[in-house]
Amino acid sequence: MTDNWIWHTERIPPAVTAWLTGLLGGGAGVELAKMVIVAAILTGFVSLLALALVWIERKVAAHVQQRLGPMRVGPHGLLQTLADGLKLLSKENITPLEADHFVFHLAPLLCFAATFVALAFIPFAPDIQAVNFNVGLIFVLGIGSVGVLGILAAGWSSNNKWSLLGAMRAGAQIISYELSATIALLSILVFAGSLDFRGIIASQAGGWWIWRAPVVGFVAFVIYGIASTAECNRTPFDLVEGESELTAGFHTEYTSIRFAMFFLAEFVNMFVVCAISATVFLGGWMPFHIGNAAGFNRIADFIPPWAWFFGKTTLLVLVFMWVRWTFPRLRVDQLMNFEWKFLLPLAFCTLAVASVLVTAGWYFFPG
Amino acid sequence: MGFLGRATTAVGGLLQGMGITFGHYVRFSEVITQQYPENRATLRMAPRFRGKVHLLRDPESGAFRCTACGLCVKACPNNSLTVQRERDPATNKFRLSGYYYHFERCTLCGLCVDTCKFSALAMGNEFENAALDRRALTLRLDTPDGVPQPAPEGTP
Repeated sequence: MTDNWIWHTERIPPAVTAWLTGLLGGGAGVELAKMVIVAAILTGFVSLLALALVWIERKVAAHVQQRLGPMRVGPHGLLQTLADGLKLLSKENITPLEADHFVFHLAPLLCFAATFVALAFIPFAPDIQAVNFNVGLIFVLGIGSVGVLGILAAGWSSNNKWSLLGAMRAGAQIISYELSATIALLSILVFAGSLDFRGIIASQAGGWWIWRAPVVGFVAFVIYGIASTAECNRTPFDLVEGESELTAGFHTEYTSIRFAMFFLAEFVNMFVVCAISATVFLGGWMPFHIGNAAGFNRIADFIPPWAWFFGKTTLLVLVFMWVRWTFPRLRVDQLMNFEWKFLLPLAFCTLAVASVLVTAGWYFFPG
Repeated sequence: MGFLGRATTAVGGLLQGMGITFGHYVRFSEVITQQYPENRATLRMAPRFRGKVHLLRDPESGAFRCTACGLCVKACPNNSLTVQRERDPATNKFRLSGYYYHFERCTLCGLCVDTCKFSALAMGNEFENAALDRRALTLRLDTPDGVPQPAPEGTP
């Protein structure tokens, strides 16, 4: 029963290639058609993802605060985000008088493109991955930094001192926390021995790194969680937007679809970060297996790999939202103190311990 | 307390906070929001909500507790209460003969209830108070069945 394409998604790409070759007769046209198809699928996915995530965020926020959240548009407000999106698109597109037009218009695109490209590297299921190459993780981390450029450009070109302040905070914050995030991932890469998402997942066939790397895995997971919250500019690290002090920071002057793009990028970025966390620490689409418990393993295998991936990612997204609606915002100096005096040293310690453990082979199921 | 001690305390506090919000998050019965007007029949009102002023009755005799002393009238900042009194021929004491409430002037401040020495006043839970004519908001409260009735034209 589990022997079809729902469980064996690695059969889909060859089938599509064969179908396209039959249709177009081979050559460069097939590659082009594949690119167009993948881009269309990812665009649709991003739009749906943003709609769903905004709705989930509002519902989580509401229930954490003993409210109901959106209830009026559609059953349990399911269509609320669609309505909001349509409203945003129909609004006037305002550019401030003294703004730097070119940069002002480019910034939201940069932000959106960065997260969109990062999404192309995420393995959703076996072989369901738009781009795969041997340093995928490094590339995704690098692409993530391009998003900061968008934020900086937005703040700079808006000709608004609060926007500029927000953008400068974003620059300082994201560059600082990227160090911890990267080093936390690095300490797992030492175990996995691969920078390729496929290799990282394959190395977790015997168990997820969060528990197979003793203690270190969990510590790195928590460090990455904290640092990536800061990278996504989410509360308690949302100084960039700082609603009460900077009135939305870098995107104060943006309206209509440009604002929607920042919004979209923010939520998709959260998904990307959670997907990376799920892939590196929780085994990506790998089902959860317990040693020799064949019965349990069979049940785990009955859940398709993409469902495992989305389940893990959704769980992490929910934790992100839970944290966001629990904690208040930090002060700038607290933020920097925390990163440079606590998180980064801890990340370095984790990396050092991880290296020792790998060299000595002191982790579960080595080899 | 050393660095590690402070770090542990901080993490403990954060986890405690997350525990509280998780409790709210999973217990849907704690939701305070009400879906008015769909749930008009089962609406839960806060006990201390300040609606219209009511006259309370003595549970034993069934008579209004109001002694027509007029303290509420003096306390009212908007002059929205009028108490009419007459002498009881048998006991030669004052008694209430008309309690008029100008709801159109009332700010629902509750000073009348605070000032009443006989606990004869209370504020109710009604909030759907819109009317098409302001005359409908001038009420006589000391009606036999206790339901406020619009006062006649020219009520002080």
